[in-house]
Amino acid sequence: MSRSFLTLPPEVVEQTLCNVRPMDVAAVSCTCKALFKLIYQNDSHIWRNLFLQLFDDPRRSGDKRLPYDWRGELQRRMRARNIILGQRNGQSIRGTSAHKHFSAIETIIRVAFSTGDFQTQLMSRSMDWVEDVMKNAHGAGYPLLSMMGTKTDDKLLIPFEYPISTSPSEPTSLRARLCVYSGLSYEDKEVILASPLNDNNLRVRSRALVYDLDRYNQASHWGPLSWDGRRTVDWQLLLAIVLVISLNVHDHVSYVEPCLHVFHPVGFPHHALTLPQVSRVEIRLTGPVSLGIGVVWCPSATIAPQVDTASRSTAIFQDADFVEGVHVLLLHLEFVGADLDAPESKLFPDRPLLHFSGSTLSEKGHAQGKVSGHVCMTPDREVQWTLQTDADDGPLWSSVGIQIGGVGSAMGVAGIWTRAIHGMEPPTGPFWTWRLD
Amino acid sequence: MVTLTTSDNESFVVDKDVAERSVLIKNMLEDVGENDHPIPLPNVSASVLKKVLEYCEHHRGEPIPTADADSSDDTRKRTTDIGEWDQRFISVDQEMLFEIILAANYLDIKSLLDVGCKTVANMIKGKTPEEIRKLFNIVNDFTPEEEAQIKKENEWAEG
Amino acid sequence: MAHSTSLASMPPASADLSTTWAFLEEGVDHIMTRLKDGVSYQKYMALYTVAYNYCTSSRMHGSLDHSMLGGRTGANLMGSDLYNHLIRYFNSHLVVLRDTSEPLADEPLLRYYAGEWDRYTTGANYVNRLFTYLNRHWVKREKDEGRKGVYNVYTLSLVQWKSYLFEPVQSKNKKLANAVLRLIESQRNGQTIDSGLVKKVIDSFVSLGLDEADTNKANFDVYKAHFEIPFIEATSEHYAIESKTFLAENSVSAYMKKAEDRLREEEDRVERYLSTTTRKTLLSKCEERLIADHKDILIADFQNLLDYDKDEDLQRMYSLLSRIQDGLEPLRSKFEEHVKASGLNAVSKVIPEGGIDGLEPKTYVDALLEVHKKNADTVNRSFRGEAGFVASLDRACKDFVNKNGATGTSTTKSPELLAKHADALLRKNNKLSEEGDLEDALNQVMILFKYIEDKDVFQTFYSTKLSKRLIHGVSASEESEASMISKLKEACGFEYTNKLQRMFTDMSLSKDLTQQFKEKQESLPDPEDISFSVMVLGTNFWPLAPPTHSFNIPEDLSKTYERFQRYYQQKHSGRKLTWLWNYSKNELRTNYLNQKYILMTSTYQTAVLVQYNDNDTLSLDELIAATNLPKDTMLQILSVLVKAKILINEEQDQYDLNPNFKSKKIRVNLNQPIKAEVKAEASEVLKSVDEDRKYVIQATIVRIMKARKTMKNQPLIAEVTVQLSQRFTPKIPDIKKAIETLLEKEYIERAEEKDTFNYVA
Repeated sequence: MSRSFLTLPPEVVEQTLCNVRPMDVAAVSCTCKALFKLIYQNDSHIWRNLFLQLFDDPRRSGDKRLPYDWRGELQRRMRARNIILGQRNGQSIRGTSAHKHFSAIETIIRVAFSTGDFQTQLMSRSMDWVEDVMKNAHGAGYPLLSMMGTKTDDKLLIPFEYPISTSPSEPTSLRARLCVYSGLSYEDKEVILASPLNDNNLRVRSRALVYDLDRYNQASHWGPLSWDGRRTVDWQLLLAIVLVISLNVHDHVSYVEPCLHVFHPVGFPHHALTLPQVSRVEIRLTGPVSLGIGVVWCPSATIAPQVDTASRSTAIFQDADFVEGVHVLLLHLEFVGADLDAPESKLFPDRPLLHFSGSTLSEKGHAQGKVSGHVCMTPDREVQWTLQTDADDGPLWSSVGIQIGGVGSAMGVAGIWTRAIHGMEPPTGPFWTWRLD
Repeated sequence: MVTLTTSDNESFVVDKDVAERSVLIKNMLEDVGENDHPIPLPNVSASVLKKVLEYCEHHRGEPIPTADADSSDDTRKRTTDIGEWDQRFISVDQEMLFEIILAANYLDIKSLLDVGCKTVANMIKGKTPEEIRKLFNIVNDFTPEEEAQIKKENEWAEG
Repeated sequence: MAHSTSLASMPPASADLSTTWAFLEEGVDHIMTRLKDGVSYQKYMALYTVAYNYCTSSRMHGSLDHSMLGGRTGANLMGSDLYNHLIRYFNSHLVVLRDTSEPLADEPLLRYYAGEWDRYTTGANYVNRLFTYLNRHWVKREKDEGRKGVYNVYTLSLVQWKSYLFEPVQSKNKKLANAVLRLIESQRNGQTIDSGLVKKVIDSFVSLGLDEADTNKANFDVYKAHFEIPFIEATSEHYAIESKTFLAENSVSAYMKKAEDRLREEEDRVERYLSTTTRKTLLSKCEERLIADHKDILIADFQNLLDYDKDEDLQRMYSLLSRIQDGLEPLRSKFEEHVKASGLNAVSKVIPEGGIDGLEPKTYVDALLEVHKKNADTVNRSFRGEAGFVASLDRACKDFVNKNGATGTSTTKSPELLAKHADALLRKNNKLSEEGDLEDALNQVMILFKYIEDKDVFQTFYSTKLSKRLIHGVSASEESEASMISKLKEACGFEYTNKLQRMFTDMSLSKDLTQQFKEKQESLPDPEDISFSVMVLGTNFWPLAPPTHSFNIPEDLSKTYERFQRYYQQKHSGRKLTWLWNYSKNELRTNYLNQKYILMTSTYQTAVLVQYNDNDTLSLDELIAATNLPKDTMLQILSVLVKAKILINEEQDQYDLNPNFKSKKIRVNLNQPIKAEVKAEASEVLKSVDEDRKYVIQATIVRIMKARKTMKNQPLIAEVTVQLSQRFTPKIPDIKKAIETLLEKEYIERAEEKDTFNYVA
């Protein structure tokens, strides 16, 4: 009897197919009925194996939905990848429908956050995949810029415009969010710093956005939150904050050296974990309260602008001599208690509002000013921190920020600080706080 | 030394540790105990066994993946990389390739089965359906309606 | 040839299920029931190959299933065929075993069960390997797809054993578990049993626990439900009865031995044939029955054991009660009471009939130390130095050291006696301790010192005594003095010993000064024929008072006096020298007798005696006029000289030099302390302690108020008490008085709020 592919036992054929890429499996299924049936009208064996070749096992990151839709999820992810990479292959982004594009980015963000159990799994297959997709979207080395689209000068992809529209389109917002997670690589930084200081310069635009004091009012809760009072995250502003601070840190390497490790390579949450100096600290609370938040010694780089901008012109930021002041503070915070009755606690009963108190510290660790604050969930499931710094004679500064990457993320909290008694004159500026080990 | 007898009644005398690359033979020697009788292999012909023994000889002494490794298959990162020697070893005609795969499956030689499957996988990679049909001599037996159904199923792969 | 027949009779690769299974079943049955007859290579290979061929006999089918539901390919159906047949085979095999076991009970049942278990599991392991291909593909796939109740062949055999043999047998009165329990019961009653058999049966219980999610994980559900729970119950009952009966007929100390033995036996039982997971539950149950239930009886016997020094029993009681919750606390408090009572008792025994004035410091100190040592030994030996008992000992010692029959209500008596004892030890030629033991004796002093509450009283007495030792040159050795001071420093800090150390510095400076002065004198044209040495002592560091009365310096001394005065002022201008004549001493040579004597005298005695250089007879008034000493002092001086027969007082107020003075010794020591001085000393010291305390309390209040700026009355008093507790326990009226004083001096002021003070900067 002559041996051929189709005469092999089905389990051997399946093992073979588990060694090819999902696209090849699609091709094989088109050859004949028997193979189509084996691939599409069988149990999930092949699909599960194909999935696990590329992605982290969702069963290990707490996803208890069983049976898991291996085939559906794999196909969704492959489709998202094809849409993103399709841009590279010369297809105009305008050719792809906005809806398709939106769901593709959404899928990639979801993959980035499905890695779950970081601690036992420093090597994340899903993260490698996301990175690979992002790098290849426009060319290697510039993940942030390529996601923004500035490398291709495709204005449509720029994650924020100035002045910003009050209701950003969902894809723009999603893209900004992905950029925040992605962080600033060395390559990105070099390109940004080398580009001419005009209206198109990312740093100029980010500053214009961050120092537009009209943005901070009751509706936006004096922080990087939406203008409509719904308390959802303004991702474009958050991206601008991250950029402004990242670039300042690069300007002042020696001064802020202690917290520099956080910046390279900044990346998705798990990347911070691969840095030896940073480790996640989670306080798990017993009882009905369980919001994992690490509270230990924190430095915060607080950057105060030397100017106040009332005008809508970016001209002032195009001046090469424009500089910001950098302040590094140490904060020590301690958990005080949960407030189950706060309106914010009603949103997600398992994650109620938590109160903190603490102090700012001198370099030697002596307490200086008093700090109090709380942390709660936003309606769009992000973690919002609110801190107030007190001077001897009353409240001084108020800071509102978002924990980048959600509960327990090591990427820290970025946001805006203002005078605690609002309605008064500046200063105002961005801040970014990390947990220290 | 153990004696292996093929389906076409040829005998091969090999070192025990070479024969024990086959988990089947290893388990049997463990369970039954050793004696002078030949071990019959009714599913393997001499020409294939010769090839398989060449593989076992080359890889003697390497650790054999345990049965437990099977269960962690799902999470092990698979690569389609094949070692240099194995690549040369497996460069045979398609029929012999499939015979080796079958023998490895029967004799329970996991690493050889992997090499075989990966080799076939590499042949498939990047090919169109038509190229794959040509490669394996497959006849397109779809009706036009079925073709439509298949196209719909595979939409995800296009983007 | 039997071997070739196996291969020859092997069905072809395309054989159907019934042919295939008929062949396989014969082989499986052979392995499960007659494995000892052996299996040939041919047989093994034939069975493996037939199973393999059947599993791989399916081909991919070409027709499309338009339902699009995830279906199963043929290969999977093949696997389930074989799997179902295996299930049926195991079932029928086990039903036979079960029927055979039916009439058996107790040990015979256990023997049968264990024997069959061995044979069954060995065979099933074998079969498991023959069906490797089934395990590798069909079983694994079913599990991956999340199907419950599918196991690899060996696990399947255990599942079947459990449902078709184990559970049916157990369902009849828990036949298996009860048989095991009865064996254990008889072992507890002293009979020898086959532990190996028990172990085999119990191990099978453990093996039958299967974790659905991960069959490699041990799961103790079966073991717990079928064995551990009833076993613990039986254990509890057994020891409840045994302990009660035993205690009714035996002493507590015999019972404790028994309980210890039983606990050890149960630990051995776990080692020998139980799962180690049972250890904790079993032992805590035994501890409950054997110790906790009889806790009160044990504790009631504790005093008895202490009274008769039954070290071994004490140790046993400690280790038993330490195993249960809150078992030691009653012992600790009883022990504390015991130590306290022993201390008080020991002191009352040494108080002399005439009252405590006659109490020797050494006797007192030794009595205290002995109580401490004895009980410290008990803590270390019988209670393993456990911290709770150490604390009880410390509390008790603190109590009786500070307050006992000798001290009455005075808190200063103990520190006084201890300081005096230390003084006696540190004196030259003391007979209290052998040469090498001095250091040890000082360490003993420190043991008690640790418990002294009024450490400042001790400090004052100690420095007074030290000053005497130094100026009279009677210290045992500089080394021992330094050693004692460093011990005190270690216990109470630098401040506590600062003054003491300064005293040594003054001594050595004075030595140098005397030497320098002497050299200077020798270089002068008219050196004095007097050998002179001087000690210059800092007023603040020495507890010495200058004379309160006038005194004419004898002419013979005044020249030297003036020369030194000048010399010193030159060297340190601006310093004031106060001469402590009351502490000075002299040596006089007699020229008026045939035998030359050396009289060792105080300077006051000298002043009197030198008057007789010019007269043989002098009246009291004449002597007073010459020396300018007060009359009562003079009378005391004279009475010593008369008593020593240097002077003769035959007529009222008239003193004659005794021309016939005789003494056995050439050196005659006349310089003895005057009685009134000795008595005055103790009260002097206490007065100075009180003065010091007033000052210290005030200083502490000021320090606290400076830091806090404003404070309420109660917290302030509390804070002062805490801060001073290292040195002494301040009395609240004293603190209040100090606050009043500070208000007057305007260091602090009353705030508007009631009972509140402000610091005045």
